[in-house]
Amino acid sequence: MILEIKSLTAGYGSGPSILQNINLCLHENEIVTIIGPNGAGKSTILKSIFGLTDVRAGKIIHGSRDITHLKTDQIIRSGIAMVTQGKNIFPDLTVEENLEMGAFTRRDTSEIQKRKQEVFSFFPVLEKFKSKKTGILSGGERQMVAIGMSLMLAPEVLMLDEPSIGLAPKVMQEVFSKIQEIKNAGTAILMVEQNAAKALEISDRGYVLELGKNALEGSGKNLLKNPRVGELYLGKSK
Amino acid sequence: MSELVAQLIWNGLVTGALIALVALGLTLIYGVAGFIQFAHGEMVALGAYSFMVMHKLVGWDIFPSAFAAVCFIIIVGLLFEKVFFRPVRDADPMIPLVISIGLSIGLQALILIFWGPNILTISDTSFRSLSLFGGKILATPSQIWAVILSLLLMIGTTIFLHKTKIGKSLRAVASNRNVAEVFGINVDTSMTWIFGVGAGLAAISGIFLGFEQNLEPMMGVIIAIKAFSAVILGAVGSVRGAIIGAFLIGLSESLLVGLGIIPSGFTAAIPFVILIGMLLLKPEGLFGKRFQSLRQ
Ligand SMILES: Nc1ncnc2c1ncn2[C@@H]1O[C@H](COP(=O)(O)OP(=O)(O)OP(=O)(O)O)[C@@H](O)[C@H]1O
Ligand SMILES: [Mg+2]
Repeated sequence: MILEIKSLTAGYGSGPSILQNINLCLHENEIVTIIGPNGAGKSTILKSIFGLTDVRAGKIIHGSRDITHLKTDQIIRSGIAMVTQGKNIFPDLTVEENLEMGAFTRRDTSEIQKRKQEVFSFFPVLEKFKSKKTGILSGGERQMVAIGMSLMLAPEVLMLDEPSIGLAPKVMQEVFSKIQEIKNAGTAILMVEQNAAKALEISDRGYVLELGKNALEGSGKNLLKNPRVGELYLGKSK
Repeated sequence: MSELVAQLIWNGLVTGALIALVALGLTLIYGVAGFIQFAHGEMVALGAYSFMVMHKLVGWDIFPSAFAAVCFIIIVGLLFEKVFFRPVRDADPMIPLVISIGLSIGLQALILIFWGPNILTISDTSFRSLSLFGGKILATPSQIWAVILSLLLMIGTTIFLHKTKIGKSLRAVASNRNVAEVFGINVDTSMTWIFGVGAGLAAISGIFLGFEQNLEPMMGVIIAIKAFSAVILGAVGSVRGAIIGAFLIGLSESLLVGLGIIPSGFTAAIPFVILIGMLLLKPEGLFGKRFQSLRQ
């Protein structure tokens, strides 16, 4: 097990607990997807892992290390990266600068250069636009910049918050196949998706979250077949 | 006539350079911290006063006095950031804005308390005017220094922002603070940097300004208004825009008044007239894409 969440209760500041007693795990070489209605707390789970919420109870374990109360930069250095939901790039910086900022916590200049070339060969379109302001790119290209930034960290665990949001079906397909490639290259993936059908198709396992609590859990295939999931998230009616 | 124009252009360049240093700090602080720092002008005034204290009262030479004044103002700037602005970092930008207005008024009062309402000068007999270009232009050594050093500082700041890791991280925070945090860029550290750089530039401008005019408690407000106008003229948050806006204001002030197009009593209105004209013709500023915060 590479990442484990045990009985997590978390919220923001002095506000109510958004997550209550959440349990979740991620194994090496796995894609795990969290689905659930808007406001269920999906993003809050990822943010909690990343030290961006107030954890009130429970533990977050990465490998054998307790990362529950570490700061974001320490969590990044421990090998976790996150692509946030929505505006997840620096629009006023060039594509290349965005990648460099992705590696902000790393100091090894020559490794960073090497990694940049790897990201360029993984997303050739980014090399083409490397000196362009990221703000002018299309939605799909921006999502690739965002994923590229996190790949600069060569993470063990990559968390993706709604990577397909706002993308045309063809581009979405492309992003999902890139996510599979990243997994095949040895990075475990924890993903939040609105597009449950597509996401569960490429996932090994999935979790359904409702009102900040675990509702269902199972392999991607089983969740896809589950009538309740079908009704709620896949737009199928009986 | 041409000699008069040449002289006026030189004067305009000097003023423009001094406004540009202030505008540069304002636009950087706006970009990274997300609000217009109204007390930035007082950093200029305090720079001039502390230089005067070191040079005339303590009796140090010009360079050590200037160095001490700049260091002192940077410390003051960092202190203000930590005490007044950091606690409201994530609040509505209206809150730090109002705090900075209060700070500005408070600092003007402090200057009054310490030095009184009287006009003071940093006259220096060693500063005799030189003639440049075969006597066409009269310039003081401090003006020549002001123009050269300002240009170097502007180039230096641009290189810092675009070529160094810290500079790029400051632009990243200005561009999208949330993403910056997700990649481990410390926003507090960025604030420290930007307030330090801004205060340093303001202090340098203030020292040179002290050679051009008298020291009086309101001197900071006056240059700050010109710098605000320059920043808005060039598009808020844009570095290049602020610099060009500053020179535009400096030059038009000097030329319009010097050539008798506008009576000298109206000098203070010039930045506003340019600004209003600009807002009518191109509301997003010279270098603006959209009239909105760079943080979003
Ligand atoms: N920074 C924040 N401060 C306070 N409350 C927040 C914050 N971010 C989210 N919330 C609240 O937490 C709850 C869960 O939000 P979250 O963003 O985790 O949901 P989500 O499942 O990701 O929804 P969506 O599908 O819309 O992205 C919501 O009620 C939201 O209002
Ligand atoms: Mg979300």
